[in-house]
Amino acid sequence: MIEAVIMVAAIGGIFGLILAIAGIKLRVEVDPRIDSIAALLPGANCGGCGFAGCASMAEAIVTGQVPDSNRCAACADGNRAKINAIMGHATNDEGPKVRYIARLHCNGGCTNRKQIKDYEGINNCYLLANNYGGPNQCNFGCFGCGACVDACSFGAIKIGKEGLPVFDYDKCVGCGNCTKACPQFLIELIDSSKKVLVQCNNREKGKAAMTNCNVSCISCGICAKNCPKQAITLEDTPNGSIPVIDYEKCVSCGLCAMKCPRHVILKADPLAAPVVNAQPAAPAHKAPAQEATQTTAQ
Amino acid sequence: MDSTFGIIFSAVFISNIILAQFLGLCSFLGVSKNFKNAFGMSAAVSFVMLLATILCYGVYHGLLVPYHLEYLQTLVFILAIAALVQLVEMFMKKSMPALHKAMGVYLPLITTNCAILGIALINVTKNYSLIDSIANSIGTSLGYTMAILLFSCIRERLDEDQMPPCMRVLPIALITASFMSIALMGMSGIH
Amino acid sequence: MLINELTKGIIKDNPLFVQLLGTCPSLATTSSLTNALGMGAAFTFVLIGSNIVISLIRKLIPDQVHIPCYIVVIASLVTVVEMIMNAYVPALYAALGVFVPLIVVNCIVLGRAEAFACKNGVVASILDAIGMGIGYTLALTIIASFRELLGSGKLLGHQILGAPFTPALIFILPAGAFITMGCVFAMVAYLRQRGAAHNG
Repeated sequence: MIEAVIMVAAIGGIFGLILAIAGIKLRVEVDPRIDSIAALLPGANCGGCGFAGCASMAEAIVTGQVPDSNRCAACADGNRAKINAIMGHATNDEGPKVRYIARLHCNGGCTNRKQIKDYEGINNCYLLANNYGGPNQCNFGCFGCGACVDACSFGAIKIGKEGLPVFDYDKCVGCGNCTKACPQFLIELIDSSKKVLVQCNNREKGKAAMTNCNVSCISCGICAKNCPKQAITLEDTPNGSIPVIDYEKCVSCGLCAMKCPRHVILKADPLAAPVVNAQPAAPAHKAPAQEATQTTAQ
Repeated sequence: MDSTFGIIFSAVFISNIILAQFLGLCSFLGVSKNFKNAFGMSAAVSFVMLLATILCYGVYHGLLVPYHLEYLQTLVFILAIAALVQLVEMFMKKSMPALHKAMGVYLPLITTNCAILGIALINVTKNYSLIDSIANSIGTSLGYTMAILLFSCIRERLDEDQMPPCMRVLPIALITASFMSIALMGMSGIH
Repeated sequence: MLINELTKGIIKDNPLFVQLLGTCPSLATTSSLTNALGMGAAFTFVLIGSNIVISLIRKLIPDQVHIPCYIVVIASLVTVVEMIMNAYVPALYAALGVFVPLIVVNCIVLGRAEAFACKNGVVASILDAIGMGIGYTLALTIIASFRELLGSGKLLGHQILGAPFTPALIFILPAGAFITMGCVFAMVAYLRQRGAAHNG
């Protein structure tokens, strides 16, 4: 009995000694600033800064790979000043003054788009994108299978009733993961103060575009012609074009939204409305003859 | 099946450590959501298992048997394994930082991994020589690696929208594991 | 409320079904109901003992070495249990095999020590251990009953389902363990979702 106690004590003692010696000889010097900076970063490990997590970002700041925390879109402003203080930089009050938020270039929800194929299979945006552009008539639009939802580490995206992603701007920090995840390139990080958004990605024109969806862009170019700041350019593609708004020049006047015959461009404050991709009333399908008489009557 | 090669073969296929002997299940179910994690975990387990078998063999035959203290094997083995894992982690952090970043996070999980302690105890129960113990541990770690890598490949492709909500994540994973186990049952007649 | 410590381990915080700990023995020792009950009893004994000892000495253990200390305590208790089982129920001990010493690395024992016993008094720790032990044994019993009944028509060694029933041998084998566990977990998930839907 006493031998057992001695044996266990001896073994425990030897191992403890080995570990203690190893702890001293194999000590890795870790800069304590890394831990304190990592504590000030959001800790969500979203990857928006380009590093593999907040700890890697902290290491990059301390080793000088990045000058400050500006790459982190989610960092609180007070913490930015503290990080600069730890690193000994002069506190610069310019953090990102512009808040970028994710917005969707598509309004083709269930009520607006037309489904032409019966798709039975795994609902995955990437699979549908490779599967001849998906089961809908419009091959450029949103599939609603949630690649963006999975990519968001902040839980800011949900698929809404219309089958389109709905963004919660209380949670969105503009990290850009959803932008990279969408196989249709529909999501863009846009300045949150800009109220105008092109809600379509359809690159066909005229009749072809109209059959795709009720609120599709028909490449008429009226928006570009009417913009007082020349902020809209038409990006040409083989079968049509799509308007692209230059947000540096855009002043959110909303003229393009008023002039668009298909109600593609939305003018609304994204941060105010509860549901951002509000569905404007789709124009009722009028027969071409009726439209002609209406315009001549005006 | 008493030859050294026979031990390795049976450890991989016939009595696979996870699918037949049920050791190491917590890590098997927990770390196998994607292939990269599974690979890191299996590398860490293989590494620690080999070192732990040798150490436990040495401690058992060198310290416990001469003093007729075999009943202390559970206690001494687990202390040895805990100390070994701690040492390995410190050593890796210092001299192989890239490797530590890749699989260092799994090392503390391995201390309480049933597979490591289980192998050490099984080697004692079956009275293996040093060579046979090492063969058993190599075979077991190969079996663990095979099982967890295959499992993670299947789980990655298991789309969770296509099944009833109550079956998601864990139940369907267990049923998948049962199919893998049935597949290995075909090997049980080999002598 | 102290009685809450006892009851939470049975259903609400069941170590196997809710916390998903201790999966290895729950598959390996449930091929028959006797084995499962034996395992549950051994486990409960170790858990109660370790909770008592650790909550008694919790103020004396320095923080850096607390895990090795817990492991030493638990391993000593497991060695005691091993010897008792080997002496009084050698058939059960042989059937359970390597899983009795593996109670040392059972996540539940270490988990309760870490999460509860080191922060609470002796009485609360005892009740917590009893509750968790009952919960785990209950979980093992459920799985073992399915496996033994469907796999051999017996329960506790007595033939329950008579001649017309051809037992499905697979349930005794490892594959059947996974299937049974998967189905039981699915049932538990279904009940929890229904409960959440009723309350939420």
